Amino acid sequence: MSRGALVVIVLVLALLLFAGATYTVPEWQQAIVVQLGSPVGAPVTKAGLHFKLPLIQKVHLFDKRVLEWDGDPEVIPTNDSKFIAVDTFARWRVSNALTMYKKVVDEAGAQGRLDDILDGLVRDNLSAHSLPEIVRSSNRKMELGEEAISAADSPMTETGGQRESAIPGLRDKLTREITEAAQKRLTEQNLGIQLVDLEIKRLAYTDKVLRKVYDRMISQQLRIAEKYRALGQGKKAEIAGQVTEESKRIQSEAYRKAQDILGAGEGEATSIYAQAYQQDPEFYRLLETLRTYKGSLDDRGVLLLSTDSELFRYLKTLR
Amino acid sequence: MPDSFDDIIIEMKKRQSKLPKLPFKGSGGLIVTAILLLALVITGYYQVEPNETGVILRFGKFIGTAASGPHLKMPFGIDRVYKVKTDYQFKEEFGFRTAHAGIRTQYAKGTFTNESDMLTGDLNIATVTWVVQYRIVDPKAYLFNVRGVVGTIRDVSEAMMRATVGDMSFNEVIQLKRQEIEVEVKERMQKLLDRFGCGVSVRLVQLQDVHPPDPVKDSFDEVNRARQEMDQAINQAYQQYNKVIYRVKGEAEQTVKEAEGRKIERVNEAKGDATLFLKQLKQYRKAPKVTRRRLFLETMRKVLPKLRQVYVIDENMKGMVPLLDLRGAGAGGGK
Repeated sequence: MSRGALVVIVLVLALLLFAGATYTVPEWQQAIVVQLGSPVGAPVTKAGLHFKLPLIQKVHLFDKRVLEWDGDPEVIPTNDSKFIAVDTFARWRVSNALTMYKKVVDEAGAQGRLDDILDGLVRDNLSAHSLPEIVRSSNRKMELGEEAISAADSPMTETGGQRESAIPGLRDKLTREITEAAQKRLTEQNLGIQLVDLEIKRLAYTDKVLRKVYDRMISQQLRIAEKYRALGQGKKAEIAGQVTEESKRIQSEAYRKAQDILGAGEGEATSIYAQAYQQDPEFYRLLETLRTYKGSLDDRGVLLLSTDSELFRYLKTLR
Repeated sequence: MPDSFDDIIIEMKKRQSKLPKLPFKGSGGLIVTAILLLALVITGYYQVEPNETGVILRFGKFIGTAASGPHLKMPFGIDRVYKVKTDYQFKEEFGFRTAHAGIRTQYAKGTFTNESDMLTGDLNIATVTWVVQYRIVDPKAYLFNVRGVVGTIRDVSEAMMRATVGDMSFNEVIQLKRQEIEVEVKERMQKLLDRFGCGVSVRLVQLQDVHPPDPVKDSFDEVNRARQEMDQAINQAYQQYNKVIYRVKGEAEQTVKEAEGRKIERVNEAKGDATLFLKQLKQYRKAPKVTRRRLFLETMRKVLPKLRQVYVIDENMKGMVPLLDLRGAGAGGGK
């Protein structure tokens, strides 16, 4: 065997030994060392290069990060007997890798335990409350719009009938309570895992209810539409009335004014005539009489003259 | 100094006897050496792009960050570098997906109603789509604190949006409180993400299309149509109003003006008549008797030729005597 080959073998062996006696823990992980099936020492949470006994010690890595948990959507009856689909998610972390390894072995085991605890708690907590309580998170007064599209008159709330403002919104409070209850239970069970947070991701009506809700929304909209149409027609009629009123007023006012003016003119004329004719009423009568003759006698006229009338005498003199 | 790699090899070959003995002999040894050198270069060199930050781990332990540019590191996986885009605005879409962004952005077909349809505080349903933009501000936290940061951002965003919308009426969600929703969701998201230690900063929560769900959309359009019809009816009425009222106003003005004209006319006529009368009177008084007769006869002269017949009644005879036809034998006369 050549000397070179010997060197290679030694190097390879050294490398193998190094590989077997060391392990690295990255920042986001932690490790427990298991010797012949049973864990030794505390979990290694410090990142970096670590040593172990080769061959007989094995390393199990656990995550140190905040981890996902996604709940299956479940249909929960609320205490006002409605069914809603609730989808939750949570974030958790390994608080003690050693305990976790002993109790649930690995992450899949931990997820299973979380399923049991969280699904149950969510169901218990939400089903003890009414739908508006679960949906809302405060009791602030909402602006419902000119035509209240509220659920007050919907088929969904025959049992309820409370007004919006009277409902204390509990959504935030409930998720907090569920989180705290779950944390407590995890501590009691000492699984080496810790719940960071739980949130309700989605709340949804079940399909059957959804259709009813849509129907209600549609009928409400149609109601509003009808209202607008009627308002338009009403306003139109009102304006038409206004047109009549105003035009009559304007016309009659103008008539009154005109009559007034004409009257004044008539008065003035009368006084002018009177003043003039007063000078000699007899002469005026004469002129008027003659004017009447001129005006009223024409070719269809027949004049009857008395022999002692003044005209006859004049006529005779004319002859 | 040798000029090239070939030269080095040649040089090495020449000096082989003088150099400390390599553990390999011949060309086989050379190839191994070359591979080792190449691996050294490949695993010892890295480059950080301008919008990135490099996070360096030595045997898995964080030892520092690297700014953009070319860098050296310990080779063979002793140092590992994770590049994080710290200078980049990431975007997540909710309720829709951009298939192809561009001048005419294309949106992915299909519905995401699971994501977008949510319960409002008055137990109606609104379809809400929105985008979230965020930056990685702490690359170390981003890498080491939370597994699946993007998924977490999505979950948190959905939960916070639904919680916020759940406390608002349908009306507020659709039109009144868009901005409030954006602000609140942004704040609540940031708070929760900080609690997880995600190392990201939410820069923008922006509502996109917010509308009634598709199955009820028609009825909302119906309301809009009705509103249009209402406006139209009112406009038509006002049109009629204008048409009538302004004409009537003008006509009224006309009536008044005409009256004024007639008044002036009447007064002037009176004045004229009066003047005429007074002037006649003046002359009449100079010779009343003669003037009287003259006026009478003048009138008769004008009147009599027009008459058809003139009868004279003698008081004493008590009968009607036809007067000689003063007009002569006129047409139709003498009957």
